[in-house]
Amino acid sequence: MLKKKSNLTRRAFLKRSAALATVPYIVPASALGLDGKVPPSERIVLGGIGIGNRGSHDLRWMMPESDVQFVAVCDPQRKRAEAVKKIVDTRYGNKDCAIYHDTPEFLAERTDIDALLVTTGDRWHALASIMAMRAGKDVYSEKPSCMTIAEGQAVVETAKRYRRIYQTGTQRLSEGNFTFCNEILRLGRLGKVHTVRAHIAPWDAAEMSHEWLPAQPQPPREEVDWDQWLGPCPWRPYNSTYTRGGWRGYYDFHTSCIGEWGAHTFAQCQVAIGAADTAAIEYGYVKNESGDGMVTKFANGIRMILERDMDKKYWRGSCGVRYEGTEGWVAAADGYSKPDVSSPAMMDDFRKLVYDYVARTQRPMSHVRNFLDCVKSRRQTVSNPVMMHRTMTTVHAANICMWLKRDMRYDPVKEEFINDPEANRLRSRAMREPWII
Amino acid sequence: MSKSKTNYTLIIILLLAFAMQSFGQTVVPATKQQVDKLIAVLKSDAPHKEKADACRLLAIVGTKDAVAPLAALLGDEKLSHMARYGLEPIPDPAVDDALRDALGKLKGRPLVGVIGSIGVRRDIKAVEPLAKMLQDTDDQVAQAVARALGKIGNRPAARVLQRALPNVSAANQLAFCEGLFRCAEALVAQGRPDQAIEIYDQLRKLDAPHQVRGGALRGAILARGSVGKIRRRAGETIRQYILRRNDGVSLLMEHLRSDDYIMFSAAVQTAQELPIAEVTQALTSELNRLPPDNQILVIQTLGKRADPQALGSLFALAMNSKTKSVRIASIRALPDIGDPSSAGVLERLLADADSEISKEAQEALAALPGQKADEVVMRMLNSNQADERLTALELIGRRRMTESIFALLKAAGDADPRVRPAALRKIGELGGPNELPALLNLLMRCKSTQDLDAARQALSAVCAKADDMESCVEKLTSLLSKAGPAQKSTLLRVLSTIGGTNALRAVRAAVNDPDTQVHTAAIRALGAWKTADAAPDLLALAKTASNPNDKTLCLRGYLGLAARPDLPVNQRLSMCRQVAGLIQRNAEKKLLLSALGSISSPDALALIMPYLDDPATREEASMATVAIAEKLLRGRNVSKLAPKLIEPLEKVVQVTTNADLARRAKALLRRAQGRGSRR
Repeated sequence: MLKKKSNLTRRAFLKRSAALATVPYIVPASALGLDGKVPPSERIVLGGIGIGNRGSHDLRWMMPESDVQFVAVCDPQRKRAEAVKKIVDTRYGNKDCAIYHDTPEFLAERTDIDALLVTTGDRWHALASIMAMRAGKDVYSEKPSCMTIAEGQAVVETAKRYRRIYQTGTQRLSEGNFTFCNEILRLGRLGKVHTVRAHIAPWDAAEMSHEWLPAQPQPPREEVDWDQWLGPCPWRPYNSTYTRGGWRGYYDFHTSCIGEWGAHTFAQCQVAIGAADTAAIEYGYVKNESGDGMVTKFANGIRMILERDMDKKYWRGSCGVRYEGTEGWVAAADGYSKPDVSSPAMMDDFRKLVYDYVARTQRPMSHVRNFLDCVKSRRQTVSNPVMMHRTMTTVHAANICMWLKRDMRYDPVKEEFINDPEANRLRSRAMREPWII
Repeated sequence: MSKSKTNYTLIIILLLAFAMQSFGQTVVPATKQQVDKLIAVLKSDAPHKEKADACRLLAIVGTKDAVAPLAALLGDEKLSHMARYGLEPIPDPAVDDALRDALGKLKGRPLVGVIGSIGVRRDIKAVEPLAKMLQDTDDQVAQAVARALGKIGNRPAARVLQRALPNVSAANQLAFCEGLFRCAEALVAQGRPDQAIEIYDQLRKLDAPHQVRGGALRGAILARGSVGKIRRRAGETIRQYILRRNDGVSLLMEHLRSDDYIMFSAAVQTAQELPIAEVTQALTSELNRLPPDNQILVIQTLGKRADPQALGSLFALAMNSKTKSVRIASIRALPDIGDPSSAGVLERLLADADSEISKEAQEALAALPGQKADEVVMRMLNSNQADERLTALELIGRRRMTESIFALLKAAGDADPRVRPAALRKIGELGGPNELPALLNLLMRCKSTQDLDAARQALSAVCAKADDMESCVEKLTSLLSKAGPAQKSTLLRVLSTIGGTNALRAVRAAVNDPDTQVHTAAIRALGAWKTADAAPDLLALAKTASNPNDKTLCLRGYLGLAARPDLPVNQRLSMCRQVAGLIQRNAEKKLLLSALGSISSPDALALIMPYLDDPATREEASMATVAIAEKLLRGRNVSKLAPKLIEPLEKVVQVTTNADLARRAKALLRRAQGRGSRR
């Protein structure tokens, strides 16, 4: 199929949006549609790949934005695609949402789509994002956004090559409590920071299974395209448990309890300590199943400790972070009405610090809104490819440390383990044809 | 049992023994014998799964010896991928030989896979055989070849792709472009930008989608880089000079007047990756010719480049552009560049007639580093306009101007009732324990509620930074006898944020103060105590209080402490039990339920149960029950705890009128019943 050039007339809103991106988004009277909404020609055309539970949550977050129009979903599972269509059609009051089954066909045909929501499950996040960016789309990808260090590198290269906007779904970087923690640290209110603690998931283990679930009769391809569901992963017989969300805990599909929450918490910690463009250089092996208590160290001397926190010593919610310095500490997790602080006086500044952050960076306290703004302004998102790749590198290295059961040292400049050929072999995995980057 | 099956059984036993300590997950360095065992599995008639697992392990421990057995599986439709899984990481050239050898023997997906692995390994000897496959009628093969040649990324690979590109089919175009992009990037890394430029220029001219054209322009600009210093001829315009350079900057310049927004924006954004002074010249020289939308993109880029050479143009636009959004973009770019000279311009813009502009200038001043910006702010603090003094205080806080404490102390005595509390809060924000005496003096002169409240915040803030808290307590308590009721009340509140025995003693004593305001403030201070140490005092007061308002205050304070998440569960339960009998009003019952709802314990449910029968409290009791059940069913020892949840949840389902709560309770009940029955 002949690839169309992008329609510049329709993209004219980009020009206007570049101007509008510097002021609060204001739709001029001449462009107002019904009920003050952004007219269709001015909207970001959005599609989705692999939208399930989490993806539906993201979709419901995006669709209310007045400058978004969701038009199509691609999924190898027919029922899931139909469920998404129902959500979208109900929202818009029509039956226009298109369904696709095959990702390459979807990308080749829908040259009208500007951006894609990629929420396929860990195993496909990087490849789908790369395919989408090659096809000229901007991407919002759920996390963990890559399965290996090599995949992360490829995402960075592709985004740069094709000048694409990319956001990984580490949405706590756009939430008030966590932003406050980062700002308190940045402003020196904790003194010299020596330790940060990153929550890892209290279920599963670092070591994952290679076992196969019992084979079940494979459904017709138009119901579940098992080959495409597996994508780049090693073949195994079909079992519906995988496709209904039971893929966690398997090496081929998951990034372990460390990646499950570490994709978020490592990102928070690394951004806070100014290490978003690098990875930890030391990893201390711990003799337990999860990596709980692993001490990692960055080149700036700060330690990041992985904490399962089963006794709730540090947090009361999930995906917690805690930053400790010579003059105090601060912590936040999901479900907090406000961060925990070593001194109540710190909280006097809560609104101001968050407000100042938004004013300084022009990044709103909405991860989706940040992505959409950046699609229009072409500025870097808060959870951009480099940040994703480097923080996921720390995740992968921590996993490798647990798998090989020994201390590791990593060179983030050369992007290789130091004097450790076995660990270096684990930086990538051969991808199953034809799903090769 | 046949010999092959016997051998297979033995091998599996040995393999499992190896795998027990090894990587279904982890691996320890393998001996040659162990590697040989894995190879033997590959050669046997073991089932697919066992062979696949052997390939996984060989990916980490495989040596040259494993190459041939793995390569023998490349043509096996089922095991081809796992064979590559094992081969790809083995750092022996025998792998490359084997993969190349397989090219001529395979078709379809196994061939696509082998081509992919050749690309990953960057086998330069494979360029020639791959080149022959570039026109394969199977699009997947042709595309895989294009990408693999790109990964190899040497000159011969690039030439192959470049020759093929003009005749490529529409279906394969993007893959060929990808291959060429990869080659170009590799050639730049190899120090051959001239060859990369050739590629990028070819891609730029292609009738291709926007991401290819924009990406090619970016690559072409960066690969060309800069020719270095060239003298500008007399009379030559900047545009003529830059175009004459015939380098990346020239190419960028060419596109600044482009009607094609994709190419225009690609050129401008690439400027962020080209830290050359002439780029700033190029961008600023074209600024006034551009339409506003395009100007803004250039301005943002100039800000990101942080080159002070751009400042003259940005100042002019900030002051004089007829388009407000251009002015705003220019102002916002100034802190990005961070040059002190921007302070003077921003100072002028603070007085702009347009309030949006002045607000933007204020924001920019907050972010602009350096002494000059501080001086502007201090001048504002000395203004005879109260609004300006207020703005200055805000900026002092945002700029963290800690050396301005003396000026802040002076401002704390300002005639304007808005300025005084603002200044006090800034002292708290920026100051430390050294400011405590001065703050206490100020407190003693405070009269208005706003001032008192601000003083309280400031005192709490500076005391929180002290190493020696008891010294702070001493200073505060020493003033209690001299302070008026309002100041005393403030001191008591501050003591509650510090905590400690001496502070508690002073507050306890103040409960008996004859002044009602002080008495009430003392009770409130106990209720807001930093730790739960004040709880016994509150409970005792609640039991003995004759004044209903006092009793309410004590109960509320006590319940607030009981709800503290940092207290152990047993302590919180005990506190709730002790206070339950004293509570009569529905408002306090709801506070009790809220405190109980945050305790993940079945004992809390027992305390909640009676409230489910009371129409006035059943919804709050239902919420608390559901909250506890949700936490308990997610935690440990679920099988043991589940039966204890059944009765409370059944009750909730029965009594609540909230549909969402009922739904959640039913779902939890099903889970509890299911888990309970598994015991």
